[in-house]
Amino acid sequence: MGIKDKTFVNKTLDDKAFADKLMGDKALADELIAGLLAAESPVDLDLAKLVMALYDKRGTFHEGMTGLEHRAARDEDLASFLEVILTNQVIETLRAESEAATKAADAEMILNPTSGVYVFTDRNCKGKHAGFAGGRA
Amino acid sequence: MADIARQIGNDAISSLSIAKGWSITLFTAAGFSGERTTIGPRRDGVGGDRYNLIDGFDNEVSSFIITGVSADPSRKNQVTSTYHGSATGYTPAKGQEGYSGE
Repeated sequence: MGIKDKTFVNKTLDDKAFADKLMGDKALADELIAGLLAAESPVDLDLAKLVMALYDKRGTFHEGMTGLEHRAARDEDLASFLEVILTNQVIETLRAESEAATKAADAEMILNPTSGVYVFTDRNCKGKHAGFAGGRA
Repeated sequence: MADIARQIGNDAISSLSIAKGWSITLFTAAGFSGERTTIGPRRDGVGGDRYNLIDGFDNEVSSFIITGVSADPSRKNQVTSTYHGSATGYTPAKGQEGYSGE
């Protein structure tokens, strides 16, 4: 998995003002990179995504950012850090998928229970709910 | 001790989903009093049934009794659980599990 992995890069920069400022401010860019390099787990994913999105536009932004690619090529710590970001992104994606699957399973269970009774505050089995069975709820 | 008022709110139930083989008896007053109706069990098909409560019970339920087969394999007998919004004057009968609240 490379640092240019398109599945990682956030295609949209929500904070355009910050991105513009970063692209024109070498000191800020260097400070940000230094902060990322010094960061300990858990990585600030939002910040990392922003940096990587900018990084993905190499050639169009500040040399302090374009230099990241060259630095990563010869800097094992930086390369490792970027790998952590990518790994965290994969973990985050898997966690989100798992959470969605769990929610879907829970929704199915309360609508078609195999044991006990679910009561709902709204009609058509919607709204706040609670499950009751032979044991304690 | 489970408490219907805390878990779902007194006079708040509008619909139900009931597993096959289970039933629920609804009461409009606490302590298993007032108007009552029993829903279920369905004896055919698989999965659960869903019900909207009719007028008179919609947003009027203050206590209920659930009867069914325990999901706990160590409890092979039919079990009955009760839930109500008031503990006043209620003593769980033999074979029942009582839940009381405020």
